[in-house]
Amino acid sequence: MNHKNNKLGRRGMLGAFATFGGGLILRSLATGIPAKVLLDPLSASADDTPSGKMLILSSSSNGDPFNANVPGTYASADIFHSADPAMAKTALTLAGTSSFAAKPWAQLPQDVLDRTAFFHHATYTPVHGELNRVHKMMNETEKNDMLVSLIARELAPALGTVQADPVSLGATGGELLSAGGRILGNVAPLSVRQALGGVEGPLKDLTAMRDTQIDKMYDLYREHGTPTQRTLLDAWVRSRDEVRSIGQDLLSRLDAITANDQANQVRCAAVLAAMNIAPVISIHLDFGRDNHADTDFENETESHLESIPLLGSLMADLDQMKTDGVLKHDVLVGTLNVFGRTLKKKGKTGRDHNSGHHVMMLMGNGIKGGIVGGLRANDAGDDYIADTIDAATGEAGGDIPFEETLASAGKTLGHALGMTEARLDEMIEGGKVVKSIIA
Amino acid sequence: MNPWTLTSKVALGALLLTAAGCADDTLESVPTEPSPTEPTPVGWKPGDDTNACNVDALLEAHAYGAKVKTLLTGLPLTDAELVDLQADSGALAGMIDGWLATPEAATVLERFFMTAFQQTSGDNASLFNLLGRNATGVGAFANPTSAKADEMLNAGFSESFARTVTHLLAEDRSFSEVLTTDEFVMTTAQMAFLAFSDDEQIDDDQKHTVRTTSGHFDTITLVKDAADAPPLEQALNPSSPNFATFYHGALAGMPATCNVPASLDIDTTQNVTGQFRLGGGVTPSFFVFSAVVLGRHQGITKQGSTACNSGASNKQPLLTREDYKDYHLVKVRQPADGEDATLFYDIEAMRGSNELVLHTPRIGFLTTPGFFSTWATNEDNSARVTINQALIVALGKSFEGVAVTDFTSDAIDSEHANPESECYGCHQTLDPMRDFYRASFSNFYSQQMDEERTSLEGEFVFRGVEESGNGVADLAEILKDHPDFPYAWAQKLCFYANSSACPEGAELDRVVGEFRDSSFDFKVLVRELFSSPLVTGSACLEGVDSGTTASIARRSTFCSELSTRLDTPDICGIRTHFRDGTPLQNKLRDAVASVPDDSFSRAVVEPVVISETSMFTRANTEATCTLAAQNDAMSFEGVTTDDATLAMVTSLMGLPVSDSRHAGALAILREHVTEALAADKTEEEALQSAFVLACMSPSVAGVGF
Repeated sequence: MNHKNNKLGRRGMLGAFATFGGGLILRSLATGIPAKVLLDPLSASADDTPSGKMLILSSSSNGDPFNANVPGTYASADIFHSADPAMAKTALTLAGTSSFAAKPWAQLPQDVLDRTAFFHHATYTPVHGELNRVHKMMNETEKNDMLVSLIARELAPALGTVQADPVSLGATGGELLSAGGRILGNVAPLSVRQALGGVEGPLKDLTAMRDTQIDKMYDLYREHGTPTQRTLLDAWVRSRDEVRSIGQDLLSRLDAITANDQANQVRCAAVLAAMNIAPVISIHLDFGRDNHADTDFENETESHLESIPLLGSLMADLDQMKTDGVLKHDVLVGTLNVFGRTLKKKGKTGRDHNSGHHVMMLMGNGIKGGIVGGLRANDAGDDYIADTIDAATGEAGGDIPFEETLASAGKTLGHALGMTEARLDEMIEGGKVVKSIIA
Repeated sequence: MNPWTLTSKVALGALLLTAAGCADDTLESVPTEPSPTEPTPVGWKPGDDTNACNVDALLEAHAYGAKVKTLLTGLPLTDAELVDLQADSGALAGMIDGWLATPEAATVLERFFMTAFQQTSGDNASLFNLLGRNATGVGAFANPTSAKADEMLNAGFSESFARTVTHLLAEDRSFSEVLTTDEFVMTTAQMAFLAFSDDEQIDDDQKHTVRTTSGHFDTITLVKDAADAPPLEQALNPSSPNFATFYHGALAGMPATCNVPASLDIDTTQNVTGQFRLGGGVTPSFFVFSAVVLGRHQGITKQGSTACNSGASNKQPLLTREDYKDYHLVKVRQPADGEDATLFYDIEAMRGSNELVLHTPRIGFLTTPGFFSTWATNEDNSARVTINQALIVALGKSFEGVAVTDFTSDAIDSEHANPESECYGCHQTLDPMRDFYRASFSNFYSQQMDEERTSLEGEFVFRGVEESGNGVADLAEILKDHPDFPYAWAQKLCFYANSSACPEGAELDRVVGEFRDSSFDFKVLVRELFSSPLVTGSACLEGVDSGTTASIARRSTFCSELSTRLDTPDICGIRTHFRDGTPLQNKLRDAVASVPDDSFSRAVVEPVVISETSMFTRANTEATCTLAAQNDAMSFEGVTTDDATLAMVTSLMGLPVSDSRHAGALAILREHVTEALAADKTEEEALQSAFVLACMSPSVAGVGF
C-alpha cells in the first residue's frame, strides 16, 4: 500500500467526518460508508472473517434467450434449440443431478458445474424497460429498492467493502442500477485503472498536498454555499476518501484491461472483487440479445459460445485468487435479466419475450449444483412458463406458486449471499428460500 | 405536485412503477405515484410542509449566473457579467440571448440535441440493418489513418439532425420544424447512403428490389491492381469509358488456376458456368455502393467452381475522407413526374448539391437514420418501438396502459385485442398509431411499397388528441400541434439544467406560454426557462419548493467547460474518433468515460441524468484533470506564477474578481504552488498541480456553484 496516500486518507476522512454529527452508526447511515470502514478504513478490508459473500451479476434489459439452453429446458421435444453442433444437447451433472443443456454448459469444469444452479422462475413482464422493476422483485422489495442494492448495503459492513453501493461495469440506459432512489452511473472498465490508481507522472506524489488544498477549497465553497451545495461537497470528500482507502497492490491486475467489452468486464469485475470495492458488481453478458428474428438461433449460438466460457474463466480467476489469498471473500456469479424468451412458439425463426419464464443462474462457493423448478405449458398451450416449485426439494410442482417464483429466486439469492431468512422475509414480500441449492 | 419532481435522481425509481405487462418490445409501464413504501428521495427541499421559502437555499448571482452560462456555453462568467447580475438579476435574460449567439452555445446545444432526439446509438449492426443486411466489416482510409467507414457514417448520422436543429435555430425558424423539416444538415457520404437506401428497397420480408439504378451496372469491370483503377470521376461517370471499373482488393490473391485477368469484366445479368459473377447474393448496385461508400469490395465467385471465390476485401472507400465530414444543408424532395431520384453514385453532383431527390419520405427527426438505427424494429415489433420512442422524444410521454373507453380500432394486434387482457390498455392505442410508420416504412425502415400497408390509416388517440392520417408526414403534423409538445421540450431542458423535472405550476406554464407565443422559438424557451427561478433557484415560487440541486458536471458539460476555457475544441474527444484524435483527446476520452453523461433508455420517458458523485466519478474526474495538466492543456510558458494562478481562478474556475470566493481560491492555488516548489517540483509541475486543483474545484467539477 502507498503509505503516504493512506495517511492522507485518514486525514481526509477526519475532515469529512467533521461535517457530520452523531455516532458511528449515524455517520455510516448518513454517508453510506460501512461502519467498519468509518472506524478504520485501512484495516477493515483485510483481516475479518466475512459472514457474507460478494456477487458478480450479469444483467441485461435485452431479455436474452438464456432460459432456452440451460438444464431444465431439454425435457420436452417441442422446445426448439440451435441445430449448431456447438450447441448440441449434451448431458451434464450438477452435483449429482443429471440433466441436459447446450454443449457449452457441459464443457465447464465439473467442479464449477457442481457449484452451479439454475432457478426456473418468471419475471412477469415482457417489457424491456422494466429491468429495474425486476430488480425490485416487481415492486415487492423493502422501500421499493433494488434487491441487489439492499443486499449490498446490508453485507457491506461484514465484507468491509470500500463502498456499500453496487458497481456497474456494463450497463447502459435502463440497465443502470439504483440504490435508495439514486441512479448509479456505469463505470467503464478502461477507466478503472486510472480511477483507482491515479495517473502516473510527476504530479502523483503531490496528491496528498492537493487533497489538503482541495479540502480548503471545499471549505471555501461551503462557507458561501447552500445546503444542497454542501451536500455535494460532502459527497466529494467522501468519494475521494473511498478512493484513497483502496489498496494499491492489486492495481497491476487492471493493466490487462484493454477495452470495455464483456471479456474485459469479466476481468475487471474479478479484480474489483479482490480489491473489495463493492459487495455487488454488475456486468453485461450477451446470450443472444433481443432475438425475435434470429433464424436458426445464429446470434443465440454465437453469444452463448462467447459468454459461457467467460463465466468459466471468471470462476477460474476467482478460484485462483481465493487460493492465492488475494480474494478474501467468496464470490457468487449470477444472472438476472428482464425476462426470458419463448421456447416453442416461433419454431426456429427466433424467440419472442416470455414474461412467464426466466432462468436465474447462480454459480460459486456455497451453491450446490442443481435445478430449481421447471416448465409447464402456458394456458394457450403455445409455449412454456415456469412451474410451481417445491420449496423443500426445489423440484417442479409444489408450494411456491407461479406468482411467487421471482420472490423465491430473490430470497434464495439473498440467502446464498449470507442473508438470514428472517431478514429476507422483511426485505421481500412473498416467496421462500429454496435451500436445496444452498451448499 | 409529484413529490418526486424536486429530486435529482428520479428516472429509474419513479418511472417504471407498475406492470403494464402489455408491450412486445416497446412500452414503459404505467406511471403512477410512488407508493408510500418507496424511499424518501434524497434531494433539496428548501421549504417545510407549509411550502415556506427557505432563503438560505436560494442561489446568489455568482452561482446561478455561472450555472446558466456554463450549461449553455461552457464558458466562465466574466466580472462584468457578475457585477451586472449582482445589480440586477433581470439582466440574466439579456445575457442568455447573447450567450446563445456564441459558437460555443451551438456546440453545447448540438450535443444536447443528439441525446434529446435519440440519434446516438447506431453501430455496425444497426447500420447494415438499414440496408437489409447482416453486420460486417468495412474499409477505412489507411493513409492517413481514419475511423472505419461505418463508424464515420454513424458518427455523421448521430450529429446530422442535431446540426439540423442548430441550423433551424440560427435561422430563427420554429422549433416545431424538428418534426416537419425536409432540410437536413448532412455529409456527401450520408447523401449517398440515403440515395442508395432509396434505390435498393427492402420489404418487410427482407426482399431486396433495386428501383433507380437497375440495369446501370450490367457490366462491372474489376482490376487487380489499384494503380490501374480509374479515379472516382471516371468510374462513376456513365459517359466515361471507365464507367463501372473498380479496383478489387482480393483478386490478386486468388489462385492462379482461377485465371483472373488484370481486368475482369463481369456480366451481372446472368450466371454462366465458368464465368465470374457477384457473390453473396448482392445486387450490382449494392456491390458498387459498398465499394464507393463502405470501402468493402464484395466477393466475386466463378460459377460452378468452389475454388475461385475471392471473398470480400476491406479497402479504402472511393469517397474521400472529406465526404464524411462536409456537413451542408440538403433539402430532400420527392421526384417530379418522370424525374429520377438522385443516383447514389452521382457523387460529383452530390458534393456540390443542396438537394436530394428521394422517393422515401424524410421528415424531421422521425425518419433520420440516426433515430432508426437507434430503434430497430422487426415484424413482431412492427414499429411499436418506433412510435413509442417518437412520442417520448416529441411529447415527453408514453403509452399509459389505461384503456380508452370510447375508442375501438380494427388495427389492434389480434394477440392483444381482448379488452379483458392486461395487454389491451396499451395495444388499444399503440397498435393503431404504429400504422403511421408502417404505412411509410418497412421493417428495415426502407420505403414501404406493400399496398396493404401503404394504405394503412393511422389512428392517433393520445392524451386528449384524436386524429387520423396516413404515413409519417401526417404523424408529424399531429405531433407538431399536440399540446404536450412545448412542455416536453421545457422539461427536457429542466432535466439538463436541474437533473430533474421542473415542478408543474404557474411558472412552468408561463415559460411554456412564452415558447408557444413565440411560434416555438427555442431560444425564447431557453431564455425564459434559464432566467426563471425554475433553473436559477434564485427566488421562491409560490406553491412549490423552488430551487435547484447542485450537481456534478456530467461528462458533456465537464468537457465543454474544459474545451471552451482551455480553448481546445472537443478536448475530451467525445465527438472525435480515437483514430482521428490528438494524444490529449485520446487520453482524456478514456479517463472521462466513467463520468456519467446524459443518456436515454428504451421506453422510459425521462432522460437518465445523474447528479451525484460516486467514487469512480470523482476519481475519473481527477484523472481527467491530471492528464490534462500533464499534457499541457494549459500552457504556462512565459507566464508568471501569479498570472497563471489568476488565469486558473478567473478563466478555468470562473470566479471573477467580484466573486466572493475569488481571493480565497487564489490564495489556495498559490499556497499549493509554494508547497509544491518546496517539495522540489519545478515551477511548471507546481502550476500543473495547481491546475488539477482548479479543475477539481466545484466550479468545474460541479454545476450550480
